[in-house]
Amino acid sequence: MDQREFLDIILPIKDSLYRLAKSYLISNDEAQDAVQEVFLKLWKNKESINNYNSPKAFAFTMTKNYCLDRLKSKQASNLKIVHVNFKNRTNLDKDIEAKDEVSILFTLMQKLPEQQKLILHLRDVEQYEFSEIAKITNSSQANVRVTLSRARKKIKELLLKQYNHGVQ
Amino acid sequence: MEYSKIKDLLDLYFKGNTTLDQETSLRAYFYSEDVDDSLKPYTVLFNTFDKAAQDVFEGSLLISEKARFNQKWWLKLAAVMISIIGVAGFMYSANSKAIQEREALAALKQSKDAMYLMASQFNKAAQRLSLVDEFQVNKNKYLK
Repeated sequence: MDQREFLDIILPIKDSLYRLAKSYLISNDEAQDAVQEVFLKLWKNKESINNYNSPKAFAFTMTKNYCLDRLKSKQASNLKIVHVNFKNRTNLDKDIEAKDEVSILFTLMQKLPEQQKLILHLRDVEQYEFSEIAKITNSSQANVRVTLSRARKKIKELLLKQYNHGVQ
Repeated sequence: MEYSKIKDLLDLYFKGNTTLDQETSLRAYFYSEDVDDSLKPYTVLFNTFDKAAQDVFEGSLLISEKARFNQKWWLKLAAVMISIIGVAGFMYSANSKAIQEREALAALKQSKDAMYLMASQFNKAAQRLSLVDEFQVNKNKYLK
């Protein structure tokens, strides 16, 4: 892969990688560092990226693994779970509500098993087709659907629990 | 969109069988103002995904080693420049101090010379005064 290809294929997904990293690391800065680190690694090894089935999938896997490493490492023990400037949109009332809700949902998502969380993120946040997700997670489309369904149901269950608890 | 249709879509959604288009319409429904009360808990879900998707990487990526190297190179150059300017400034100020000092020393020497001159004149005058003493002695011999 030469420079041109790298810029065409890998650079456009930097936002996606960032969001993925953020779903793991929560903090803006940590996520940015993660993306920076992953990009440097990819850039250094750009000649050998073509050996993988899908460079994009490789980038995602790398980001995921990097984040998991970070979370395991001692440095990450100082990580603050704070939330975090999600971009505002027109509907102000909803935005104010959503700020807390965002953190609620993200904390709930942390409770999902690894694969479920990844697939849920790729589908519902990044809105990828099943075929793409299958490539990234290195599994079949049927498998992706099943895992996604489990993840969504689990989130639903957690969410309703939280919601009812809040009401009572 | 009517309630029953949304309910069906939601069921499909939790089974993992919705298409991207269907998910988009679900999102649109939950972002609108009139969400059915029984579906309220799900607004969090879809609105959050929506928000999370708008998050973008801010700041610049350094992707080449060269870029990194360049940045450090500039930093080093800047540090060297600053220290050179600092040292030069110090030397300059030290130099100008030396000039002042030399001027002061010269002035001191001049005034010392002047003092010596005056002192030697005084000594001469004092020697001459001894002649006056001699005169006194001789005068006393005769005028007692």
